[in-house]
Amino acid sequence: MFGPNGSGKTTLLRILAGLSKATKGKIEIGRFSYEKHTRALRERIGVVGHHTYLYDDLTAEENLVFYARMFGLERPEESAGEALERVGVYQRRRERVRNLSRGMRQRVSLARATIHDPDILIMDEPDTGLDQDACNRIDDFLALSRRLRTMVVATHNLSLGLRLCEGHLILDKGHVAHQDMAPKVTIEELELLYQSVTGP
Amino acid sequence: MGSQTNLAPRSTKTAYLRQLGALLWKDLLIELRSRDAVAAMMVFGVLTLTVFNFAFELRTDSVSLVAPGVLWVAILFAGTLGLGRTFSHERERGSMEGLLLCPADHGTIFVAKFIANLTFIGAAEVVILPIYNSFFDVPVLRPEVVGVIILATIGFAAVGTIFGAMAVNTRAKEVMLPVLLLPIVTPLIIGAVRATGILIDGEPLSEAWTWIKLLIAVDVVYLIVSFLMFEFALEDWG
Repeated sequence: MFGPNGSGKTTLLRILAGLSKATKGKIEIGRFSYEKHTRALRERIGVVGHHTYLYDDLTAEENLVFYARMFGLERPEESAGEALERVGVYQRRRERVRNLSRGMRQRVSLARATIHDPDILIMDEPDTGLDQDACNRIDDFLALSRRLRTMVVATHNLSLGLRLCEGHLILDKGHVAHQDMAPKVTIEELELLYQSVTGP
Repeated sequence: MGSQTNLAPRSTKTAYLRQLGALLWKDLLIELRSRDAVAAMMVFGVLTLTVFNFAFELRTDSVSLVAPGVLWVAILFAGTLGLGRTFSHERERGSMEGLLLCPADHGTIFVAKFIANLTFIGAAEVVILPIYNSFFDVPVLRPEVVGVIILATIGFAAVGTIFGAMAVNTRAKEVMLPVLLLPIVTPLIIGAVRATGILIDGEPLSEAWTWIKLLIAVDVVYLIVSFLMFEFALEDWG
């Protein structure tokens, strides 16, 4: 999902994640809806938002053990360790989140969002504010993740979106200005398309 | 997403107790490390008692007339301060949204927050009561008086939990919580002050029974209404 600031990407993702309610229309995921199947959808969706949803006074490991228990995982400590290993933060698992860098926190947040092995991963600008090394690590994780689950990603990074996703939307002023669910475009073509759709 | 058609719940019974335990463990551990709420409550409560101790020593012949009111002013103001803080850490990093994304009933979140708040206020009372006993030389550490204090604290923590969740999302959150909370807990305060006064005067329990029944009734109403309304308080977080 691409689009300039204020185009509605975050709003749409929050509605998809069940955090906000649509004023019109409805959301169905695999013919299931939040109104009737809230618990089932929550068990199958992971979200990486603008906030990390982590507690500063808990360690990375404690945060993940907490969420593992909330998702009803049988072995929360083991699941937390594995999740932190996957994002490359296992060595820092006993440090409190407040002492971690922005990039590390984002990786722990990714671990949190995927600890319950969701079928759908919703991400809102996962690489914003990160340095190149952190971006590369997250890109690598997401490249693996895309084989395991459906991903819905809002990003300003056209290259990332093109690499991770099979289809794309371009939003502008709250509307879908362009969509292509099976694009065969290069990054240059996508940039031109983006500029033509969203205007100067 | 077209292939995601089998979305039946993975478990027919969610582990409510496990989630409740996780939520409580999280809040207690955070408070143990940050000491945000309990320390503030203890300090504020002791400070309040100190001020009243000097004020009434100088001006009032009969301290027992004002002693019950002093105790409840200290507990209520200290408790209000603590209730405001227990939700503030959920605002950091958007943690409450993280909870809303979990497959947990809002009622489970309420019960966990309520028990945590009750624990924190109780911890502050453990410090406040002996100091109050010492300053005012009134028999407040008797089982029946402690029982009244526990009853009143339950109702206060229940309604404080829901208003704490609502107030923390407002601009003037420090002001909004006491403005919302204190008028609502007026029946509780009246019952608590009257029952406490009767008991510390040495009257039998039967004399205070009317006020104790009021406290029990108010507690039941506060708990049920707060539990049911908590979902609406959480709408502001989403």
